[in-house]
Amino acid sequence: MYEQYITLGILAAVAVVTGAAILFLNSILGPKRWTASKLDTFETGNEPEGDARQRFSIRFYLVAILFILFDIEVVFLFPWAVLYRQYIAAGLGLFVFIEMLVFISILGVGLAYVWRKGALEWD
Amino acid sequence: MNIAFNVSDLLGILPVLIVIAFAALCALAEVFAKPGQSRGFVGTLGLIGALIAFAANAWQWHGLDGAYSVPLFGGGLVMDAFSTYFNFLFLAGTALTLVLSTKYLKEHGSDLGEFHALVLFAAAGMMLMAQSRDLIILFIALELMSVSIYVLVAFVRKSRRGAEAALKYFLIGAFASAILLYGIALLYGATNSVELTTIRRALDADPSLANGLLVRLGMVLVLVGIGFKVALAPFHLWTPDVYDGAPSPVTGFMASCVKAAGFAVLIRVFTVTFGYDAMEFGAGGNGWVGVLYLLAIVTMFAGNLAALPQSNVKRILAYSSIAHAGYLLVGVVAGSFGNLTIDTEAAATLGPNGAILFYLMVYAFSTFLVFSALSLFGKDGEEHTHLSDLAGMGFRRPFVGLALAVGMLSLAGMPPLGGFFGKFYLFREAMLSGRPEVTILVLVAIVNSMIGLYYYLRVLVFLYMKEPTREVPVYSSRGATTVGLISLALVFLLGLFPGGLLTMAQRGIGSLRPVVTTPTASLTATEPQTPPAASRQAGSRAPRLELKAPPAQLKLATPINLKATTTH
Repeated sequence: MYEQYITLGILAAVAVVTGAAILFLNSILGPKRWTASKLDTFETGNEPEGDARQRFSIRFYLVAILFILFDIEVVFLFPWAVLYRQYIAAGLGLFVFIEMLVFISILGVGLAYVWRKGALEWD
Repeated sequence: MNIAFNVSDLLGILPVLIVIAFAALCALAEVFAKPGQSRGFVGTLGLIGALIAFAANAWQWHGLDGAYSVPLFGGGLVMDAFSTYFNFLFLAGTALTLVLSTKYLKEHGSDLGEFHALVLFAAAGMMLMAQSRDLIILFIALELMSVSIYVLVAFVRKSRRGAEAALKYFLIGAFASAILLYGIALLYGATNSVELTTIRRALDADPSLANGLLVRLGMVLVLVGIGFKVALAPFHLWTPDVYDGAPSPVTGFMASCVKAAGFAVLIRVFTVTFGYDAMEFGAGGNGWVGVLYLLAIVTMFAGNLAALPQSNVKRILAYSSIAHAGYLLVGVVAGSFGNLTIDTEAAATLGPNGAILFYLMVYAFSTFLVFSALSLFGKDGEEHTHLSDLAGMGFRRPFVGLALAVGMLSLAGMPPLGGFFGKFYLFREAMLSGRPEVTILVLVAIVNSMIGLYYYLRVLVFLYMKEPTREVPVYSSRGATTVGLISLALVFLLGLFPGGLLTMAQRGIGSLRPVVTTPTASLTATEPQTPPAASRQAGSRAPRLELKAPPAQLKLATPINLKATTTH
């Protein structure tokens, strides 16, 4: 039963060995010339400023969470739209349409809730 | 899974749909209400929702005959007497929690409508857990319940301990969910299905698969995931902190309903799906019963011994809930030993699994009785539930004292209260399985019950025999009194007239039998063969759900049918 996993095991072993070998060879063979700008924090070419671990507003989290929520829910619309013709052909058009209406109305309740709650206001 | 959908399938999850609709209504009512307005009406709205769902549930119970089992949505969900029984428990617990929390939230300065919405969402999750026959749906339902409970634990924002408890619960709960999901993945890998009936068939068809490493590992991981939720030792370490830090009504909700949902899953997934007879521990079996056997012993001792030195009543109750999970495991272990067979004689008995259903209901009402009184101690995010805070309360607030005393005695298992008969039937049915190992387990459980007496009676000592040392804020609330009176009445009535509920529990557990019989027999009664991939047509092969009672007969029945008949 487990023979079929041998190839997978070989692949994993090759990957680990290759990676380890490259890192190891690099550390002994590669030239190392440290300069001040090389050792500095990389901030897309700008001069680094301040500590990375500073506090920032909780609102960013709120916006991010709401974005993830609604974004992922809207992603479900896409496969639905792509497959809708096939559903119609299978005689399921009305059913799938109503399903999506239910889904969107649940989304609408959520939107109404966060809107009225003030989660979309920045201040 | 095929997309078999009948509109009538929606009737099978009608209580869940009602609860979810009212949860959304509660959330909208919160945001559309005037700021500063009391949110008591949101609680009333939620209560109405819970009661309507309860009525719908009673309609299913009365409209269908015998131990019914109706698969819904192509077998992913099921409406059987078992799930309907549990829905009664969840909805009663939800209603009691909502009534209990209205004044509590005001006293602690967290009067927000989201509380009621979250309680209802958690209830919907529990109901789907009891109804699911598909591991993925089970997982989603479990998460719906868990995420709602995480938030509820931290709901009183002034309470630092609440926030700490919620964070601990969330982190550990997230790990438990991941472990559960991994277990589901392994079971899927082994059996090529997440549907419980199909898994059962695959295990029956190939005993070497059932004994294989993949299935064993999957079972253990699923057990760990559910064990976290019902607080089995050694997965119980979050329990005291979370039960202590959570608002008291939420603690009551967790102790009664979350635990019941976990055991519903435990019975459906382990006893029914992973088999009961062929897989004894020791020779030839895959040993989940043996694992549970050890866990039962560890859980009982861990709960009872750790409760002894506690001085906070909520921590005592947390450890007591761990101990109760251990007693219930005795039933699960005994119930897996062939007492769930299909011959007609056995079908007429309660069996250890039926005793678990009875026990959970009694335990829920005992818990609500205790928490109806305990939630009154405190103000502004600060709960005063130390034993010394209770001193002299039996005389200063006689009803609060009475509720706590009777609740504690019922949890301890004192006749003639419901708690005694819960234990009595559980241990009796376990003994009737006639296995020496189970007899030893029952003896351990009885010894543990005696250990437990110490910490339950200690509360009574403080209530009635100690002088108060300091003044603690104890508010009074009509809601809490109502919950206390209802629970008090039920705890007494279930002790004096257990017959009605026993009949219900028996009917509930009876509905699991068609699934646990030999795989061919299970297909004849209510369940269609899983359609092959070629016939993925909507409705064509879907089972039809027809409720016999017309909507005109829809009536609100209490879950406890107090007939003075006994079933034995």
